[in-house]
Amino acid sequence: MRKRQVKSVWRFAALLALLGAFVGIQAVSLNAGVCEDALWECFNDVFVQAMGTFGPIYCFTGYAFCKRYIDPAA
Amino acid sequence: MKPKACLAWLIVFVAAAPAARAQIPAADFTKVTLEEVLSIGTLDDDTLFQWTGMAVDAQGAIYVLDAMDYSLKKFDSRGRLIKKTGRKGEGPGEFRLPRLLDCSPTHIYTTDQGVLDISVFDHDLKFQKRIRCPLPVMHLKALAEGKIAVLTPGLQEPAKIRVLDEAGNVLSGITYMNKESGLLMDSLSFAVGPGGHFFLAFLFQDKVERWSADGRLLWTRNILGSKKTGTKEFASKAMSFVLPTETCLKDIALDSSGRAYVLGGKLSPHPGRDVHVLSGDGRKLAMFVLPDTSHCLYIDSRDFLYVRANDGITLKKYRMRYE
Repeated sequence: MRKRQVKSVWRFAALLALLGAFVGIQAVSLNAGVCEDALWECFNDVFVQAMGTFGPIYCFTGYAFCKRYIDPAA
Repeated sequence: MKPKACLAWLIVFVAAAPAARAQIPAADFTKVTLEEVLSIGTLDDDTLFQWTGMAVDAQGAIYVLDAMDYSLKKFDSRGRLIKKTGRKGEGPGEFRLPRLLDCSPTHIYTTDQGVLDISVFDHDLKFQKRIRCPLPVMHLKALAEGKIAVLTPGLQEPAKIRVLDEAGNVLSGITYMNKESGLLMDSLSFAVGPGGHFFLAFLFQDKVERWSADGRLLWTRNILGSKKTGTKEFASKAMSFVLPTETCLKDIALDSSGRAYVLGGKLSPHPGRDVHVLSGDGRKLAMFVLPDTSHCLYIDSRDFLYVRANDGITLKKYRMRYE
């Protein structure tokens, strides 16, 4: 695989990480609504639900960062 | 050294000196143009993958957090990678979701969305300690004398900007709005200017504000024609809430003259590219457009502007020219 292709794959993986949500690749597209989708996945994540009151703050913080980082695409 | 050689070096030094600092005019200006002076990272190298936070020290060294390889990188002023540290994890010096970065004369401060604490490194990127923080940090600035200012969210109480000491003790803080405005409507970026004043740019509101260090609102301005963000309702059996969906102002930075540079979000004419310049007393001075979208702005002590390009693969440094 060429460097540029590797970078492209890694970048997509990183985009998922940027969302701060434990989302599956199939749940995310790079179209409008990606931050909303990630937020919803975050709330439904078992690990996040186990975080108690901190869980929603974690998800909202990730949503705000996603909007800041990805807008205007999202 | 021979006299001729000395003279030659003197001429080179004198000629180069004015270029070492961007020239900020004392009087107001109406137009800003950008001259690219440095670009770090391309699609064809492995220098940067998806950088999130960055800062520049007094010597011009550039520190960058990279979310994809979980690292903190240090570049010299010519963009050469000097050092890299970090790996995936939650231990000391490790990163899971690296986010924010700022530097003081002695330390580098970083945040991680997956870890509450603020990690502290020295300028050689050696991990020093963690500063305890009770909530995730949504924005961070290093202040003088080892202090840091952090923005922490709250669900039941209003978000606050808190000033912490080196041990994480809260020294002071400002509550800049009440919680009744809605979820995430208190999200913002801030910069700290002369006299410890806070300049706030709201992520989901068209609002820039200046607050005194003791928590008095000095002025507030709209710069996008008072546009309002769209909202979306999220509902399930267990919960229901409404969130803002369109960003107004993404980041704010100050130059050495105390002018504020505000990066427009989705509701700005060129989303993620418009930079609105305000005087220290809130007057609109100019607006310019970045070549590429960015999520942040950084202005170093020499008044060079740093922004993102290529979706986070590239870091650009510009000299700003004023007319």
